Amino acid sequence: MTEPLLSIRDLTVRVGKHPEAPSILDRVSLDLMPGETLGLVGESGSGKSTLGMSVLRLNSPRLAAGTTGQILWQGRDVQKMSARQLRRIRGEEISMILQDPMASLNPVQSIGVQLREALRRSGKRNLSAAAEAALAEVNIPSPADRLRAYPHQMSGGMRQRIVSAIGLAQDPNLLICDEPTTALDATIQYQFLELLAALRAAHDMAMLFITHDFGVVARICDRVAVMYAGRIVETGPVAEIFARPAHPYTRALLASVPSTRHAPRRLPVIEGQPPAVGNRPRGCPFHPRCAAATDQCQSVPPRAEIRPGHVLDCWHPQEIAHDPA
Amino acid sequence: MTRDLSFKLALGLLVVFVLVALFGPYLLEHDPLRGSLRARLDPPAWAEGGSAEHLLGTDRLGRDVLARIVQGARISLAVCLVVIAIAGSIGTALGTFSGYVGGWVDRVLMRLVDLALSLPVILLALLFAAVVGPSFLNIVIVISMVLWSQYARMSRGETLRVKNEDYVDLARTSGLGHVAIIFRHVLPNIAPSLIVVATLQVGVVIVLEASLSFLGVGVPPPNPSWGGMVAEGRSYIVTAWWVSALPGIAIVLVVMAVNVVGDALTDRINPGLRGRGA
Amino acid sequence: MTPPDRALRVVPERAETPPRPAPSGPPILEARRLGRAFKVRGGLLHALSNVTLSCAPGTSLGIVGESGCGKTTLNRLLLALDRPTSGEVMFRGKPLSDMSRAEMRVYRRAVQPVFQNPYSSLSPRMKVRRIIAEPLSASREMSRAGVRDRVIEVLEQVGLSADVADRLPSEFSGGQRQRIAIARALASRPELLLLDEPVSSQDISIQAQILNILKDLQEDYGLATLFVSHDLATVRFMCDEVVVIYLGRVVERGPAARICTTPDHPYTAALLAAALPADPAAPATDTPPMGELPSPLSPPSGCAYHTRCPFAQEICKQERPVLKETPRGEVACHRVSAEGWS
Repeated sequence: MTEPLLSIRDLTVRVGKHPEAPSILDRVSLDLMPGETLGLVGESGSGKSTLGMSVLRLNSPRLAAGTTGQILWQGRDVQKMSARQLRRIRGEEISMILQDPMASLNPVQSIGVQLREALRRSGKRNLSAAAEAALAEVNIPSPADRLRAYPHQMSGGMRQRIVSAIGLAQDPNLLICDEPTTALDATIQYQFLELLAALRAAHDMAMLFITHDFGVVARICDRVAVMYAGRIVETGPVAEIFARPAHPYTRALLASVPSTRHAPRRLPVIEGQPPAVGNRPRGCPFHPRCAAATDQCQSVPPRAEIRPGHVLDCWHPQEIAHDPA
Repeated sequence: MTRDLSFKLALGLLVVFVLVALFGPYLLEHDPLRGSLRARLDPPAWAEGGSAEHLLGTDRLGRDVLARIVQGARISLAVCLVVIAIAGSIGTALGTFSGYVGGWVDRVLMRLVDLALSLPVILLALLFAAVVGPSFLNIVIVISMVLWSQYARMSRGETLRVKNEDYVDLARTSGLGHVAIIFRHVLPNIAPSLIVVATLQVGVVIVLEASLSFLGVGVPPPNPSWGGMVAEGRSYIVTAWWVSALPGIAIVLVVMAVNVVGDALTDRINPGLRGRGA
Repeated sequence: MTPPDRALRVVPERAETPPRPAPSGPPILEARRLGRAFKVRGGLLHALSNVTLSCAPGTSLGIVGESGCGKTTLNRLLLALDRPTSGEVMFRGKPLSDMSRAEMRVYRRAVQPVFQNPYSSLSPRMKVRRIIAEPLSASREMSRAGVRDRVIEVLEQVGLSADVADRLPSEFSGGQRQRIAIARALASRPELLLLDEPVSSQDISIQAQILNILKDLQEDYGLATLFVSHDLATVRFMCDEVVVIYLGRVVERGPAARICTTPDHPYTAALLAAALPADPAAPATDTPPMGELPSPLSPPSGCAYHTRCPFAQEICKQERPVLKETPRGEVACHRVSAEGWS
């Protein structure tokens, strides 16, 4: 059996060091295999971005101080790494694409300068040719000219492709994508996802894909972990989760997404709203909004593997197949 | 923690300043305008030769320095309030109008603001004093002529921001007129930034008033103004330091306190605005 | 033993939308050959050209397009927040530009907007009560007690309790704020709601709540809606008819169900393919979206979509296709004739 590339065990992130401080992530565990794409899906405030940032120890000092648990990158504990080891891992072994490409690009440097800088760190020679090849790989037309352009001269979709070219310059083993397509138009998102899938195959890398959009998960992920209020409530292979979601939250959320294929009279809804950090219910965090909730749900739900790889934390798993309309 | 402490200290100092300005003169037995030639240049109580009669000593005409500083606080406060009221209302009205209307009106008004900002306030005051003589009104007019521009700038920028918010469009789709929109939506939402400007300006006004009075074109003698007192005492600075130094310390303390409070307000109300304003 | 699947609160009866009563009466609001050009450095930007549409009582029309297609401009023109450079907006058959103040007041009450971002659309220093009452107080036709009752009535209509009225917008989440914005739009008993991406800034579970509220308003109160969105799936749920816009021009129009199953225009097909279904088993599309949006400052010659169209021919680069009526709706494409695909 192969070793997981990334293994997270009981990761808890609190706002500050105090053991009673409100937690953003609550005992999160997951494994990511080499070459695998794992979707982290959840609503805002579910902690999915904090989880992505934790892997590279990019959280604010306050959150970093309140972090407990283990993050093992190829068997090494990220929490215990020196600043130097960490710098080597960032970019070289793990890269990141964020929602706003402008946050990752320097507005006063040309694309070429930024791309060559990343390529130099990877030890490549003939940087200009390599930079052109890198732009061509992400489908930028006339790459030689584009190298002289500045980020503001490009469209959002093109910037996001440049960010991926820079992120892939050092051939990382893992690409963390934090809502990279949320700010893009649908037709541009479609093309960017196609590109990511091609890059993943070409570079033989794993991806951690953070999103709120089940359509994107269905399109690009192998496995999915559904997050709610700082916890992973259900995880499993994409085909399995979409066909037979067993956690009431996953089921209700999937059912509430409108579809182009049919128009129900009403959308099935989850009443109420997600709890704020620091105001989360005890036991199963979803129980106040859950239609299947009983008194049992006030205590922490058991974890069960109901089918191979399909794991959920719930007192009342729902076993009826979901109709992916 | 220390930031919070300095804010509290500064706020306390300002409260004392205002209370002294309002009620101080009624609590003191000495008349700030009447001196006693027998008690000229008496040192403060704690210095050699000082007495409890004049806690902070006396000036060259034997007037009680404490009484004059207290009376001077009242004058400083009065100048501040009048200037901020005049400059604030003119500047806010023009700035809001300019930002809301836009176009060539905005361009013209903003050139006017640049002009006002480039006025040499001291020279202007000297000129004014030369023509109409030094007076309270004189300094209020001169300082206002320069300071309105800061309100105009701030309120224009803030109006441009608020004007683009959807609630202004919504108000228009509800049939509200422009005047109603300015009063109901624009002004309440730009007020916090203007309050910050006003707070920071208290310090500027006090320094300007003191400078003008120091140069003899401000509050005319024998009225005690802090700047005027520093000026009067400067010939005795070696023999009777307290005549100049004590009102000088008063100016420094109040202006520092105003700036600390103003910065804290800026951070609290509008973190993005730090470093702007007066 | 598991409890019944109550998490899915599907309304059991009438799973599909029943046929809506035929539009009754003349249109409330119409756009006639509407155009808007902006002067910019480097020439004229045609944000909107030759757009004709109408909103009849009890109907729901969807406007679909991506960023830069002109849907925001269209919305502003329909709300009289901006003036067209060509064409007319008509309210009950009369051009807005010819209307008196009194007529404009009637129009303002009858047509109410809901914007995308509820953080920007609620004045942060006003209590909810004043925000909701604004469309009422502007016309000064209601008593104070009447206004108070109406505020509570509309709050309940959007699923909020009366005590919300005395609080500030900052105390509410995005979803609750959007409900307040909808309540405000309802206050003056409008006939038509102009909804500009009302759910796209919301979380998924909140989107469904808001969409259901809007659907209730359509069905239970017969409110006409114009729903502007980038997302075909929400438009399918909300609308009877859909207009697809690309670079400021209508490229296709038709019943929502037909547009979302068998689109005629290649751009509509690309949009449909890009609306990713939450289903990993969904079949791959044969019309994947291609290319980038061209600069609206220098739109392509002929059919503006030809630079991204998999079917583009020589004629598409030279001649702009006109919007033709077909049995299936309307479409502006050289490949489609009145009889069907050529």
